[in-house]
Amino acid sequence: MFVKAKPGFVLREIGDTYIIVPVGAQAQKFNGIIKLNKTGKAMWEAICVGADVDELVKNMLDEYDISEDIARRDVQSFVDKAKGANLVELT
Amino acid sequence: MPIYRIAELNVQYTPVSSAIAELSEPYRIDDGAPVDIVADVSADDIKREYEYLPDSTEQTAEYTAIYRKLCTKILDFNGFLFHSSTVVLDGEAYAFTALSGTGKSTHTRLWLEKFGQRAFIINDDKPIVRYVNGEYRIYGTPWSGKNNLNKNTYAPLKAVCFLHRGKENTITEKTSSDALTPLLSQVYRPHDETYTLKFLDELDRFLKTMKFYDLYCNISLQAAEVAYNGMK
Repeated sequence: MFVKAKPGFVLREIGDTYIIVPVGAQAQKFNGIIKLNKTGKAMWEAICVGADVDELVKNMLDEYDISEDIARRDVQSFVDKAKGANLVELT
Repeated sequence: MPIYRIAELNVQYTPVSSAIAELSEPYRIDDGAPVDIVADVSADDIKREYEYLPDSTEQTAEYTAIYRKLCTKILDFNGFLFHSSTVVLDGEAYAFTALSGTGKSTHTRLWLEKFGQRAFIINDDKPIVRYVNGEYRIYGTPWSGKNNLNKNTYAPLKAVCFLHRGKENTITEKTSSDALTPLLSQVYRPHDETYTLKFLDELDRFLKTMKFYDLYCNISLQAAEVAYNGMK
């Protein structure tokens, strides 16, 4: 499954928090923000250029000392949330 | 064309509604002054306000459209709109913010009662905040909510207080990461990408520089005293 960020969102570090903010037409539809932790930020950056779920899992495994099951579960949960918030397209 | 001195900037707009002209009059300066911000609105700008708030009167639609334009362009001058009732005491400003109806204005009135001549309301609802000469300043503007309570001046902003209703009066300092989410819902964020990025830079600096507090309070003079002692 390939995950790609929709256009119209910017990622910024504010204080010590990463946030995704909609701009332009996206901001008309959705006026909230999405907060991310460091892992979420890394995943979002990968998704911005477009990434396969397996690739996201591999990135997690490279970065953290966790099992593949846990990495896959975390990636899936992030992708589900991003999909729910209408941030990404899945193909 | 009328020019107004707002937040230490010369702002040009031409009110259609006489009520807006009247509110703006204390801020008016010579027509020939050099202009920093053009906040004139088009019929389309006003029409758009009805999409946000369909029940708007013509006057509120125009009122909001002008301020929206001003509070977007003021990001070019390190400024933004901060929804708060702001009281000045001994020359320093304390901004109380909360969702409408919580009791911001009620609380700042208690400061006036408690501190008398030492205190005044600089803007009861919609002050502009700017970063000028290494400090945050907060301004009276013609836009100050339903009470129309504002004073054409500025004061250094000492602290920001998130107000909550409580049985007892308690105040605690809040970390900047905890302040981010509630602050975001009380500041005006433009939609345009360039201005959104400027806004986020400004917000970042504000969070890193300003002091934030949570106040739980009832309606008593003691509430004002506790708030002041916690932030002074």
